[in-house]
Amino acid sequence: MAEQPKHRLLVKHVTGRVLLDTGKTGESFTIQDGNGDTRLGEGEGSWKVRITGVTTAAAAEINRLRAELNLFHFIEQPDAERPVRKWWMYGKHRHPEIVEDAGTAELQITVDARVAYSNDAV
Amino acid sequence: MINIYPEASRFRTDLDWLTSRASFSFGEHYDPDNTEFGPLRVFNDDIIGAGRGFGAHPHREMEIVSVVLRGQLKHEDSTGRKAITGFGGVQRMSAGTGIIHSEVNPADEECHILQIWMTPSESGLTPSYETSSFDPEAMKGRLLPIVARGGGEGISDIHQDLTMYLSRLDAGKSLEFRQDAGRRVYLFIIEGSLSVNGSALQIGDAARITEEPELTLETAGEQAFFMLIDLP
Repeated sequence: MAEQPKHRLLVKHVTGRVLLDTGKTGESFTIQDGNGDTRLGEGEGSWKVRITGVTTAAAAEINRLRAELNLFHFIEQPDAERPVRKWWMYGKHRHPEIVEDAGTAELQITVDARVAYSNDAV
Repeated sequence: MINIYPEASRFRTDLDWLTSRASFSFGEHYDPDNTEFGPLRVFNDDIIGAGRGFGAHPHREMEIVSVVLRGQLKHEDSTGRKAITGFGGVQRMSAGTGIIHSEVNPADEECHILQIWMTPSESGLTPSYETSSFDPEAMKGRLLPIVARGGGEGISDIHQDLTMYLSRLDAGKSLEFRQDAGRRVYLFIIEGSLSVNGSALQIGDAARITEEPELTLETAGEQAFFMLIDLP
């Protein structure tokens, strides 16, 4: 079976501090738009990121800094020659909505903007 | 009150293409007691290697000023703006509701910049970018405004109630600056040495100043090249 692309989510504070990196700490995550669709568009709308396995400390810090969060969704291709696909998700017109469920170690972050970016299209 | 932050207290990043000294928490350098001074969030002193730089990355709700001290800095952003700036040039980007940009040294020599981030006084701004240039001769012996709300001739506009000044002061000279009540002053030494109300500062040192109505900036045996930011 061909190796599958790896999805990675980073949650960063506005000045670059990494608050969560699934590539390093192994949390699983899903992203859906406001209609529950996983075929994600871009621009303005609603996107809900559900992350499971988040430590209480990480969730608390993300919640504390919710007004200044940047989320990054990367798809890293198994073929190193192919560039990483990158999306930036953030609160454009309103702060991200955060829902913590300590019982299931799930954190939900809902943002209103999703933008693809690359060095070729600055 | 004058709080001195010595050069050695800055966060250090040394890569094969970047030498960076951060005066505030930045990236993986984190000190919860050193994250801001009023709206000032980032003050990075960066030397970027030839042909290298920061690839495409986003910003939101931040005023970002890059002052080129040596070499050249090339900017491109998602609004379609491109610019190359050298010494005497200032780039101001208002990230507003979101912008993607890159910053690269396009030349075959090092590029030395100060990059300064400020929280804007209003949110939801349309992203924008501008460059301005000043005459380096004009900062000799005086405080030359290079960034200020409302802009002006040789002055970049910024969405915050602040003014950034540059000055080059010969040895044995002095300047006065009046700090209005409730204002902050951030002072950074780019070259040489300087004293502020008797507190000595060397190259790379900074001072965060509050409640000092009169500031006397003096050089002794050597000249000083410095930045002063008057901010809320």
